[in-house]
Amino acid sequence: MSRGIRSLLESSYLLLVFGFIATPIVMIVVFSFNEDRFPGFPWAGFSLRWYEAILNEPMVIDSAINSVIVGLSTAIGATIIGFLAAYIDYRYKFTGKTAFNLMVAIPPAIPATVMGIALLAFLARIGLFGELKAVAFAHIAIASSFAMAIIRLRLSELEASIEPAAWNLGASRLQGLCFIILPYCRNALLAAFFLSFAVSFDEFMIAWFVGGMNETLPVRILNLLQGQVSPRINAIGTLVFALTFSLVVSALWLMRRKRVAH
Amino acid sequence: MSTSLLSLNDICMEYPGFKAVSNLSIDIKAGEFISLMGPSGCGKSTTLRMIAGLDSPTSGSMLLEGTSQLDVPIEDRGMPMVWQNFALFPFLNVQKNVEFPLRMKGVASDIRAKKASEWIERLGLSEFAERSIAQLSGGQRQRVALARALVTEPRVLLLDEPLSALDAHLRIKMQTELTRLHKELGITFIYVTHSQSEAFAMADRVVIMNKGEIQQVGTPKEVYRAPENAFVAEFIGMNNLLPGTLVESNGDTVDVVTDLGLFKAKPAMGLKNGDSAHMVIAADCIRLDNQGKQKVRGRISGEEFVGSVITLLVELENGQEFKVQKQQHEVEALNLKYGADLTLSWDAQSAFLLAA
Repeated sequence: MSRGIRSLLESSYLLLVFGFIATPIVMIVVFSFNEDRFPGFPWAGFSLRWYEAILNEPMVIDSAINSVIVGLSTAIGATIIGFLAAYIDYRYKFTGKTAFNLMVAIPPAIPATVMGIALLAFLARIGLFGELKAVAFAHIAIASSFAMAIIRLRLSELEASIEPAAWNLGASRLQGLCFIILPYCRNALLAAFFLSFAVSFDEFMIAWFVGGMNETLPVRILNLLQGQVSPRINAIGTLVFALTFSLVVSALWLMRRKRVAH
Repeated sequence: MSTSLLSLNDICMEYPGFKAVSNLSIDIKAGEFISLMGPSGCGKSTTLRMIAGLDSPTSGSMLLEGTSQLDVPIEDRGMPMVWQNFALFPFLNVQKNVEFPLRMKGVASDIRAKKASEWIERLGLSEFAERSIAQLSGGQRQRVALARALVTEPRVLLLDEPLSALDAHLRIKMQTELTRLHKELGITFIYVTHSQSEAFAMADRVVIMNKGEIQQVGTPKEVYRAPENAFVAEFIGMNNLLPGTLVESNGDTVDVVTDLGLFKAKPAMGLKNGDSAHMVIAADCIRLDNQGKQKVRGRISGEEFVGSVITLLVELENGQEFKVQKQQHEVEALNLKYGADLTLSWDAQSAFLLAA
């Protein structure tokens, strides 16, 4: 097989795979702007009516606000916990360190349904069931794992002698943390923040199990789907997709390797 | 008479199954330039780290003018270090790097900017003050590291192989600068290196270490001319060692039996008949003109050309290799070829003994 044909086949294969994955999303976006309520070809015409419709629906707006509140709380909480876990892993050796790291890394590996049910039982017992707080706590637990991984990656690029050099020059442990470690990790912290927000905003299962009457946007979407299927859902989907896509891309851009020696 | 500024007593650093530093005791005087030197793994960097507080000794005491240092945290020891790989803060420019120690001390921003600028200028870095670290060359980074360490005007400066990351000609240049700085500032420099030439060029005293223990302490000249044991004799300068046994003392010479025969050497204190000893002959004391009374035969096995001085490597009958250092023009005159047989000789007074 010649090289030209080979690379052509490889590119086509890639295109097909990505096309397959992307097509449903593309359909959602395209039909969110469709004048007609039933998706079909040919297209009825460009229209923003579905966007207008959802922006006038109080339940959609409320659930969106809930998602933002939970998302921001998650972003803040997960970035802090993720940073602390990453720093501890970077700086200290102690018995049980492997178990500790495992504990931090595990939440995303637990099936969401299992997490949801377990949290439901636990939170009901401590009286937090049905509150947004509960959703935020669960999301922080999951997102911290991602945050820790991102920040730990950045810390591993820090020359080992830099922090001790700061102490040697008069910085206390806290000063070293504030003036050397945090500024160095700035981009990783931002990336962790954005990614945690995206993870939380997109999360459906636990929010559904635990939120009760306080719906987040994905939960509202499910309820909409169970009622009448409407292009409003396409509009919501497009907006959510745009948001999480930008957040993830920003996080990736922040974590890019710069070519200049650092 | 210089007073003792920092005194280490019986300092040990033990890891499970391995002693990095054993019973190290030394008095470092105020204002001296002292160098800790030895091969890799001899414990010199570990000792420096313990002085800085980066590692804690497993036993022993460390006193700064009589006050124990061991409970003093790293940030309060006041002994800034110049690191081998510079350890400059990558996201700060030169000015901010140099200001950092003053900032940690709480010095007001206008005062610290001024002080930092003074030191930047003193080290010839004024035009780079606003540059980021990534844009600097190795030599420039080294000077930033120096400025940053000296900006708080400490009493003791620690240097951990600061020149090994630089290329050869820059190293020589920096040696001169460091010596000059030391004279101007009058503070104590504690310098770790594995390079004999660096230590000898700059230090007032050298501390030779091997396997965690001090082998000898003295001025470069003392250590060079009078090594106290076989390790120092082999590590410093260029010496040839022949193991043997002392058999007889004849007043101003002694007889030593080796596997190459009987030789006469200078008497040594503390060695008596029957003791094992190393007979040490400096490479530049060996003659090629057959005039010395002590002789061995050998074959030329190699040559090291370092400019005006040539080191000849001569394989002796017992398989050992002797080094002979001669001026290039002398060797040239003899027209020696690789593999040629020749006789090495020296005077009994050029050979001294060390306990084995």
